[in-house]
Amino acid sequence: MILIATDGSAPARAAEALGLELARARGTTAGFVCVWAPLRGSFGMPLPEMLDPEFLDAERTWAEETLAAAAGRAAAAGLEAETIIAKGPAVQGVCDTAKRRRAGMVVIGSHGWGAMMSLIFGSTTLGVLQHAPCPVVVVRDHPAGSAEAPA
Amino acid sequence: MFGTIVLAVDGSRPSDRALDYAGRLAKESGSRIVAIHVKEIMAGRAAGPVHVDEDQILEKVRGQIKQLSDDGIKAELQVTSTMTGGPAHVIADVAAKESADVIVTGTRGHTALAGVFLGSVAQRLLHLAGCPVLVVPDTAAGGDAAAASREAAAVS
Repeated sequence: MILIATDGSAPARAAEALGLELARARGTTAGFVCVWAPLRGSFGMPLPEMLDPEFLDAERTWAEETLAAAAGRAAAAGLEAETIIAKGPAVQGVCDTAKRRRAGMVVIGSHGWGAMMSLIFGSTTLGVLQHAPCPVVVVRDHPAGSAEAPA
Repeated sequence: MFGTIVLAVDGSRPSDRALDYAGRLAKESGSRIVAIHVKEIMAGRAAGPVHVDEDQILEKVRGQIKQLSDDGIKAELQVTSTMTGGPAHVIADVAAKESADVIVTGTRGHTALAGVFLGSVAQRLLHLAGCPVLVVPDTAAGGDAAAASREAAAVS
């Protein structure tokens, strides 16, 4: 499986496009993984799920919608992709999924929603590079019209 | 799917893993490999190669590229020199010039620093590259990932 980590950001969409092409070219399945985490309150304390169930739902719903949108884009391109939702810290979510599904490759954007100008690359990407059980392809988001922009 | 693969090589073990993986990719996709070895030069009066065994490194990588060719892969080696700190720029430039579809690299090279996961060149490369960068982990499992994925695909 080619595992494509997505959070709906522009670099993630560039990664999606490449990941799908790779899966098609190699005749393997493509899977999208989106990791969500329960909203944290002050000092990183988890909000009690019983008190604030709607916060939990909002986070999980975001991940489900992100995955549905990615699957929709794949279907529009005539490609099938599995969607995998994972809970917890982003790096762990991606790497554990890669291990569990025996992914041959992880494809991920260089950044997520963080400011591109201030970071050399995203912290999740760096973490995934460090812990992934397989090769990782890092995809940058390029301005439209550049040679590397996804089709 | 990757028409042109630019492969960063320096004779280190992580580089060997990256080379193995790139070779497998190339065989599968009929890609051409442009391997690039950047000799780092120390500036100053006693200017010379950063690595004492630079000649051996060169011989090793030449042998590795020849082996790829013997294996039926279109592979060539480009060797250039640069001041310390410059390799990533050189690799990114070559990738742009060769219209690379991907740059394949190991996680680190010959650094003696323990606990460094991603070496300075790999880090800079991820920042400078104009195309996707494929980082091959420095584990035996990383090398077998392609086989594992084929196995997994066959079973599922």
